[in-house]
Amino acid sequence: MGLEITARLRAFLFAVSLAVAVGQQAQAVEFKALTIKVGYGAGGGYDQSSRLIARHLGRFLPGNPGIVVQNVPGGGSLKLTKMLLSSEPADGSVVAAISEAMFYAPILDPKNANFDPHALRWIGSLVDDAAYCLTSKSSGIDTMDKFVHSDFLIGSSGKSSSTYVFAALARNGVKAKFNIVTGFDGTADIELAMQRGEIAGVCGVQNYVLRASPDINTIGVFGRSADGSAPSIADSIVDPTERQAADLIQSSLHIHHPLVAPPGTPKETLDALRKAYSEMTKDPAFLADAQKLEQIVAPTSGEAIDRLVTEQLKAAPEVFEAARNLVK
Amino acid sequence: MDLILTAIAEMAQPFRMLMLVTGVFAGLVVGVVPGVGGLFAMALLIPMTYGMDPYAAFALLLGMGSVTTTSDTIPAILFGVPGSVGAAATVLDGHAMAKKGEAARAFGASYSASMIGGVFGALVLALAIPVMRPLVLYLKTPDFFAICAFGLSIVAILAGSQPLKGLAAAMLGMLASFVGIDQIAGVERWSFGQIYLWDGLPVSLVFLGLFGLPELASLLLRGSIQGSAERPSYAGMRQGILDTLREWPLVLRCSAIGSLLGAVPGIGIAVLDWIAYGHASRRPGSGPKFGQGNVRGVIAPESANNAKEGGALIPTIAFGVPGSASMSILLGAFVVHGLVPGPEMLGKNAAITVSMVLSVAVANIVGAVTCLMLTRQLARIAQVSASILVPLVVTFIVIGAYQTNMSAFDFLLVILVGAVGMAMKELNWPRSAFSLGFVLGPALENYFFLAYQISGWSWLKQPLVLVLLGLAVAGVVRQTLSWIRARGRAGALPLALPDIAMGAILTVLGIAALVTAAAGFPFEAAIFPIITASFLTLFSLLTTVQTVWRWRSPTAIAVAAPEAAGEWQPSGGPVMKGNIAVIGLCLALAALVLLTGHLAATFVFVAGSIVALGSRSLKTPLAVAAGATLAIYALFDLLASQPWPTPWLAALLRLP
Repeated sequence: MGLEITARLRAFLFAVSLAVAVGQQAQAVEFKALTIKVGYGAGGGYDQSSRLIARHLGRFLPGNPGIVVQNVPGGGSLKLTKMLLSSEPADGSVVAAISEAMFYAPILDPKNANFDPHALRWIGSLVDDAAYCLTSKSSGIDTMDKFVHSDFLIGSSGKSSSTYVFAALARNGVKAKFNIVTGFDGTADIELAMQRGEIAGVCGVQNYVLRASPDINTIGVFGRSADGSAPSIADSIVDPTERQAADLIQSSLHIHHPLVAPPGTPKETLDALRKAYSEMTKDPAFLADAQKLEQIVAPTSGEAIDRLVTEQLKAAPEVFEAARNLVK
Repeated sequence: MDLILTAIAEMAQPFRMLMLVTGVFAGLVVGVVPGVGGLFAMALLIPMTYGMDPYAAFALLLGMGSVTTTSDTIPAILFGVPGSVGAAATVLDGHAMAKKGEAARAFGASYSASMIGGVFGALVLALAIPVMRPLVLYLKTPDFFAICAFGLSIVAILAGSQPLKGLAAAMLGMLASFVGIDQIAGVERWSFGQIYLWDGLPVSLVFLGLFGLPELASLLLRGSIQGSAERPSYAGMRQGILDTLREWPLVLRCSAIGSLLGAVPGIGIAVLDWIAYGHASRRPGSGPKFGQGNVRGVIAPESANNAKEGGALIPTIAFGVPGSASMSILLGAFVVHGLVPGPEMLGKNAAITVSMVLSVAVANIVGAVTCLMLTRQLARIAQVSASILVPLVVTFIVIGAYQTNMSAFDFLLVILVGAVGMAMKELNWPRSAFSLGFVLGPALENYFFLAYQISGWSWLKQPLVLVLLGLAVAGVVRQTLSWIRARGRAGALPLALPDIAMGAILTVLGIAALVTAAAGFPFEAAIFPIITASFLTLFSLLTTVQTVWRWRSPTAIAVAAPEAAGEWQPSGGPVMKGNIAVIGLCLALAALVLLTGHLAATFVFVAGSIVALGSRSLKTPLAVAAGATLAIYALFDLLASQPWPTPWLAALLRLP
């Protein structure tokens, strides 16, 4: 009798401990609620892709959490990146959509040297795509040769924006003569100034609608263009160190619209996020929703981003120096 | 004609009308709550439109966007707290009217002006459809700069009875707008290493502090919004509507200002509001002075800010360049529904464009009528005891401020700006001039550098630029002449000693800004701050010297124009006590929110402060606190669900 009770008790205790163990297991990768913080204001491209992800990612995460989007604009997502590296909880409750250029921000700007890009936990990125230099037909700049040797204006938004970084890369890389106008309010504003004839063109954009327009010349491409029709701008860079620096900068084009978790996020949590992200990008409902938004989906996995970032950051100090000078 | 009929037929479908009305009600709620702008609400609404057809989607979005500027008047008139940045100018005369027992009249005037303005804006949009693209292409970057410069010249009109102080206040506002990472050189200006300040001081927060908190102090001292026991009535409302109709030329002029400036990217609603107010204050008409409850001061900004929506749609539809911040979110909706801004919107999709015009017009009418129906109930609030109202309004201001960035700095900033606002109000440094400088500063600087980078100085020869700059100079000269003529006619002036202190502080601040800008910023980032800081130093120094002179020789007469427009009136009673009480209340609530989270804090704070302010029973405070907590929960957790930071107490308890 006593023995029976003991046996039952044992069985019960075993069951309890098993349940606890299983519970703990489940708890480690169980998501209750997830916030996607976006390093840009409401309404922009990052905001749009983040809200798209927020509508779908939860379905693929253990626990099917509700996902909310919060905008934390500032310094072209540098503000959010710094917050992520210092104060955001690393328990899988917060992930962030930041600029892909953040991984080399400490290299391009010594002021940011206090943050370590290796510490970011990459979940995945949505867009792997080339960027272009475009001019208006009316500007008369229609060949790479004229692009290099003529005097004209290229429009850009802030100094840390891709429209500035790639314009500067083109200008300093191929020793072109054009000037860069900064301070436009986004690419639509730049486009309008092109139509008004105030500036000749823009660099670092992926805009398909614009490229399809009969009033636009495609001058060159950063990265590889889908149809190979546009000449690569980096190929025209002669100096090998500068060439490597240009590759460093344009490598970010492979990991456009990335999602990252704070440093210190447990491996199980990160793995669950990566797995869910990768499943989501193959999901028909997600893809249909993305197509509706004209959102390109050409994902890169978190592991691949890790490799790319590690590889690029291994470069020699003089390459970093050259990169700094190229985007000035 | 066929097009219009098609659009009307499309819009008449019940579901689309339902969406329009839903949007209008959402917009009215968003407008009433301080700190929550249409921008944020629009970002929340867009995903809901994915499943709809474009007509229904834009009916919902434009319905909401069109009427936030109708209902944001409600807290502006009642409490002096702008419901959104577009209502700041309405505070000055609208709240003054409420204090005199004319809340119903102010509401009547403002809603009817909003409605006419909104429909006018829709009309402008409709008329612009065929000529939209050439129209937008005609305006070049230097023209935008000239428009901003013209806008800034309105400061001269807003400068009030002591013009030097007005000009100094405008410079202070501009200087404050330069805080953060600059657009041209990408350097940090006066951000003191704080990430919080990178994007500058949030406009909504600054306006909440500047206008909202100082009015609360005087409300606390008066006991209720209106002193007299006069019952609010439909007669007052009718009178307000008649005021608007009588002032129809003003309504149309200000609607034109709103819709035309609304079409200029970078000129936000906060700017055109003040420009319309300044325009109206030039001819005050009969009735009280501007700033002391002149109904024209309500009609002008209200017609302008509702007309803006129609104008802002012009560049959005024609080129995909957002005419305002909320339009950039609306652009997201264009993409979702497969619409490409540009020629298609005027050809293949013209029916949708026309339906947008209809949505804006109908939304404005529905919004205004709804508000008018609520007026009598709302005007009654003017008689509720301040000991209940002040805690409630403080709650909405402080929590509204907190949800801007969810940072303790939000509290700090709103309270600090509130204290500055109190000092400015007491000592006759016009807050209106500060506001205009603050909202125009960044656009002015950015357009100048764009124009300069594009065409050096040659843009100064463009005809439209010459006309606008000429008008600006003429306005300033005319105003200066009237100041000189008014010299020697002294009106009532604030106490000398605190005024000297304020002038001296601003002088020192100007010099400090000048030195740090000259020494620390690269040339492009430094030039505007240096010019602004120099003027600030000059004007503050002059006014300080003037006040010292007045203080030393009481018989000497200072420069003052008693008949000039001004928001200042001598305040009686222990104002300082009221100000300190309001700041104390804000601090208490801020601490509670950080410790216990926004819901528990609301309950404890509202109940506690109603008791502290002298409620005899316990039932009222508890009931009001429960209601307030529910309202905050419904707004910030259900309607606009967002992740609130973990309260400190909860974080402490969770520790092992």
